[in-house]
Amino acid sequence: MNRNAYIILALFLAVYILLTLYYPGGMMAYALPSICWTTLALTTIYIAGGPAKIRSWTNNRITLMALLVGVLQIFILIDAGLINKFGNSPLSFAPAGIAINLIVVSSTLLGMELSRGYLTKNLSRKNPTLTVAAITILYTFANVSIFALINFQDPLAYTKFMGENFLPILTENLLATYLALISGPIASLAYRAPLQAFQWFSPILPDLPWGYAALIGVMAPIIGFIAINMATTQKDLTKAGIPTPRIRTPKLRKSQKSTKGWLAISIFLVLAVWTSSGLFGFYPTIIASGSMTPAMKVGDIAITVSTDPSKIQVGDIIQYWQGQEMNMHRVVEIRQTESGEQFITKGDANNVPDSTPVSADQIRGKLIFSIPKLGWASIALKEFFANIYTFIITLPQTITSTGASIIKNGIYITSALALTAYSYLLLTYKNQRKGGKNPK
Amino acid sequence: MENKKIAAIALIIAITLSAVGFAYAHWVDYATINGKIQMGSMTLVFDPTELLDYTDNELTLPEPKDVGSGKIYYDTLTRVDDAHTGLYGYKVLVFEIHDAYPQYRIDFTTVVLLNIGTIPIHITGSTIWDPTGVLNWTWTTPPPHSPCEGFFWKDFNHNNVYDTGEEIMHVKIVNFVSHQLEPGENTKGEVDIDFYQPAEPCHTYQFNIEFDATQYEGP
Repeated sequence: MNRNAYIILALFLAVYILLTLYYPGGMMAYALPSICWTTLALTTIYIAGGPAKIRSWTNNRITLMALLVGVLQIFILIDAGLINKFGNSPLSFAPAGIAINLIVVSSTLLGMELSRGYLTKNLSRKNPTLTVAAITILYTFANVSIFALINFQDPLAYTKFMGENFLPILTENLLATYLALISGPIASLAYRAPLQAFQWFSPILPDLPWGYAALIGVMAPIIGFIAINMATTQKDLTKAGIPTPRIRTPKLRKSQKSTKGWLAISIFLVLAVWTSSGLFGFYPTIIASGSMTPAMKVGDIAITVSTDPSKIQVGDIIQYWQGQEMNMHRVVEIRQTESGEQFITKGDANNVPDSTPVSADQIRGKLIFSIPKLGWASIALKEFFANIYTFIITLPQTITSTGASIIKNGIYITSALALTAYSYLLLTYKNQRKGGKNPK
Repeated sequence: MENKKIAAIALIIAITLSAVGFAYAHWVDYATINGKIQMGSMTLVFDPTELLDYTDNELTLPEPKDVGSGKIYYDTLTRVDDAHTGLYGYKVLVFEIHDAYPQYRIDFTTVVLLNIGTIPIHITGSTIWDPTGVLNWTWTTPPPHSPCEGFFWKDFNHNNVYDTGEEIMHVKIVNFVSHQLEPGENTKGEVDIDFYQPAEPCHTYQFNIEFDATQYEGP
C-alpha cells in the first residue's frame, strides 16, 4: 500500500469517528456529513491524479451491469412492497428538503465510493479476496455504528437488527467493493446511487417486515454479485490489474475435494435429522414460552432424555404431551391413583400448578441440560415463515377497492415487463462474453 | 452504442416507475413508515430509560379511595435499534386502565419521546388503537393540531357506527405533535384520559399509541 492510500484511509477513519461520535443538530446535521465526505472525495480525486485518471479505471460493460443490478434491486423492493405494503417516506419533499437531501446523499456517495475505489486500487492486488473483505468491513461500519452491535440484551432484537440492518448493508458493501475492484468507483457508484436515490427521493417506500427486508437486502446483492462475476472475463480482471493465475489443481483432486465436502454436509444433515427425531435417545427442544423462567428462557435449547416414569422425582423438569402440544414443566407433586402415577406440574414462572395432571404415558423424557439462546435463529426463522403464511392468507383482503386494484395490477405488469427486460439484458451480456449473439 | 441503449432503457424504466410511484402515493393514504434509510436515520422512539408514571383524581381526603388504577409500559416487541447511533427505544406504548368508572381521570405525565437517529425530525401525528379490537377510535381534534384529542367508543348496538352515548374514554395528547427534535433530543409530554358514563365497572381497558415523524429540514 502506498503512502497516499494511508492518507485516504486516515481521512476516512477520521470522518467515520467524527460522524459516529458527534451528532449535531439543526442545519449542521446535514452540513457536517456533507463537508466531511466532500473533503474526502476531493482529496481522493486530487491524490488519484484527477477525474480523468479515475475514469480510466472504469470498465463500461461492468459499470452498466452494476447500474442494472442496482435498478433490479429497486424493482424487487417495489414488488415486495406490492406483495406486502407501502408507506409514505418520512423524508421531506419540500424543495428545500429535496435540495438538502440531494447535497447530503451525493456528497456521502461520492466520498464513500471514490475513497473505496482508490483504496481497493492501491491495497494489495495480489490478494484481491483479502482486499475486498477488509474494505467491505470498513465501509460497512461507516453505515452501521459499532455501538449498535454491542449493546444488545435481547437475542430476538439482535437477530432482527442483524437481518434488517447489518447483513443487507454488509452485502451491499461487498458488491460495491467488488465493483470498485474490477471497475473503479464509477461502477460502485452506478450500483449504489440508484438504491440511495430510491430510498431518499421516492415518496412511497416498501414497508416490509424484517424477514422480507433481510431476505431481499441480502439476496439481491448476492445475485447481483454472481451475475457480475459470471460476466467478468479474464480480460476484465487483467485490465483491472488483478492477477489471474491458471488453475493447476488436477481435475481429479478438485473432484475429490468436492466429493468430500458434499459427504461432510450429508453426514451433518443426517446427524441433525437423527438427533432431532430422538434416534439417539435424547431430544433437543427449543423453548418458545417464558413459563419456566428463570430456569429456562425463551430461545434456549432443552435436551431431554427418555426416562422411565417411575424414576421421575419431585423437582425434575419433564417433557410431556398435552393434546397436540409438547410442554416442559417442573414436577411439584406425584400422586398415586388407581390408574397409576399422576404428576402435578408447574411452570417456575407461574403462581399456581397446571390444572391438568400428567399421566405416565404422556411423558416423553426428563430434562438433562439446556443450551442458552441457541434456538433464537430457529424462532426468528419460524416467525419469518409465519409472516409469509399470514400474508398469503390475507392477500385477498389487501386489495380494498377497484381503483387500487387497477393501479396495483398496472404496477405488477410494469414490474413484470421490467424484470423481463432485465433478464434479456443479463442474457445479452452473458452471450456477449461468450462471443455469441444477442437472443432474438 | 449497445451500452447507451441499455442505459436508456434502465433510465426510462426508472422514470416510469417513479412517476407511477408518485401517482400511487397520491392515490392511497399511507401511514408514514419509520426511517428506513441509509446514510442517516430518522428514528423516533419512546425513551426506554424514562420512568413511566401517572396521577389520578381519586380523593385522599376525607378518606382514601383507591379503586381505579393505571399501568403504562413499552411493548418490547416493537424495540427499534438505530443502526447509526446504536441507541434503542420502543415504538409502541401500552396503556392499561383497571377498574375505571365514570368521571375517573388519569394523567400519564412522564411520557418521553426521543430522536435516536441522526436527522432532525418533526412529530407529525400519532396512531391510537385498541389491540383487543373492542373499542373504536375517533379523532375530534386530529393531528397536526396540538394538543390533539379523540375518544374511544364501544359499538354497544352493533350498527358499526358511532352513536351518542357510546363514548368510553376521552384521550388528550399534550405537547408531542408538531414538536421538532434534533438528533439525541427528547420531548416530554402528557396523555390524559377521562372516562365517560358508559365505562363498564370492574373492567380493564387497554390501548396502544405510536407516533409518526417526518424529516425536519430546518427553519
